[in-house]
Amino acid sequence: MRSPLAELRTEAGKLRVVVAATVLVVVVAGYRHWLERDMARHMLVEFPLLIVAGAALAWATGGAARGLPARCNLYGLTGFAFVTLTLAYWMIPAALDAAVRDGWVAGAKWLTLLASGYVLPASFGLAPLPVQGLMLGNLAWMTAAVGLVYQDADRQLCLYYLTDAQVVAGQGLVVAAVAIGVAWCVWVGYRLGVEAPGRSAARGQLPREAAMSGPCPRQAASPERNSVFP
Amino acid sequence: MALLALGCAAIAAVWITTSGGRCWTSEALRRARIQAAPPVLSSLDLRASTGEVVRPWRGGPAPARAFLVTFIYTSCPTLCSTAGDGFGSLQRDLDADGGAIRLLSLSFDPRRDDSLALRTYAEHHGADSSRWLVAAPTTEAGLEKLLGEAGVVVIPDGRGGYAHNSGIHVVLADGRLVGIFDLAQGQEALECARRWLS
Repeated sequence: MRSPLAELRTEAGKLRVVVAATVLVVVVAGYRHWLERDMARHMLVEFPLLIVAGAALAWATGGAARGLPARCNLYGLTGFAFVTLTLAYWMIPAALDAAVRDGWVAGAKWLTLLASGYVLPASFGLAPLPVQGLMLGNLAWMTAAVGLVYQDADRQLCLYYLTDAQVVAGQGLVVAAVAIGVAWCVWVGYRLGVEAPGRSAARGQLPREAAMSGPCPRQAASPERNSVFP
Repeated sequence: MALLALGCAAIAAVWITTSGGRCWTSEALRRARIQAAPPVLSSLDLRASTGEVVRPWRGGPAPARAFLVTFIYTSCPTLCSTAGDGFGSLQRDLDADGGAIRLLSLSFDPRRDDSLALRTYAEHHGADSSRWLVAAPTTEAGLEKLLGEAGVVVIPDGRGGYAHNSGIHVVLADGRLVGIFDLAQGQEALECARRWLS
């Protein structure tokens, strides 16, 4: 009997992921006004859901390998930079207000957040751990800094959100920043544990060092190599 | 190269959104845009606390040539009350202008702010009706149009009241909105109106 993870790797499994991601996008679109009525829901629920939907679509459609041409995404830097800049932009109070007020800005927000999710799997695959750490650390630091600004502001920064909601969103952003850091550390710990020489040998695999310096650099640089996705 | 293009695109987007990195909030942007290109507000009929229907600009009462406008709702316990106190002291400085500049407290809650509520607010803050008009739009459509043109956003605060971007709006008799100042900047708003009239 195949594990659920192995099940997802089959064509039928990938199709199910595509359908699930599409349904997720439709549901988020359906609940858009409810999600965007509260600042914390807007930034801490809608943003991540769109990114997750984009990432799922990328993985299931092979985008994990093709999200961006590898030569445009050296070490995943361009992809991570796109995600960081996109999130940074939509955390600007004026941009967040415009996304609530103007339909075309909301459309741009949706596209860029979905695209962020779409390039993320490939970027994880291409980025060595130090690059991942640097980029995610930068993203977490930025998110926490914006969260602190939202909490400390003595007036409404966004016209469409109350000061109370602003404080809650700020607290949520700080928690999200910590969660990003913790989740990545846990994942790195897991990967290093999985790829430890003893365990790799037991599973009939090359240890990581051997794989990176072995005769098959193409495999070492494969986007799937470091991927957080199954 | 892709990274460079991405960086340039990001800088351009932020530059455009924040008006060259100067305005990071919608309120700051609203004020900067109004200063750069004053929008013209549509004419609007108001139901005043005195019971009469008036049209403040674009067909307003002579000799008023400029209005200092705050958006309020009379049951507001915080900012709108502060705005009333500010106008209360500011109206004494209008004598020098011979009636060319008037104050206008404009309610965006016309359903609850009937003539009695407007009159109570006016009396509570000592409004002299010859210098300070407390009024509400006669129609919801007129109110919505005015709020949109002035860039005023009103949202329910969840406690039966509203949150909104407050400020003193300087509106000329031809409907041009030429400046927005904080509630504490009454004198600056008055000076702005005087500059435009001189």
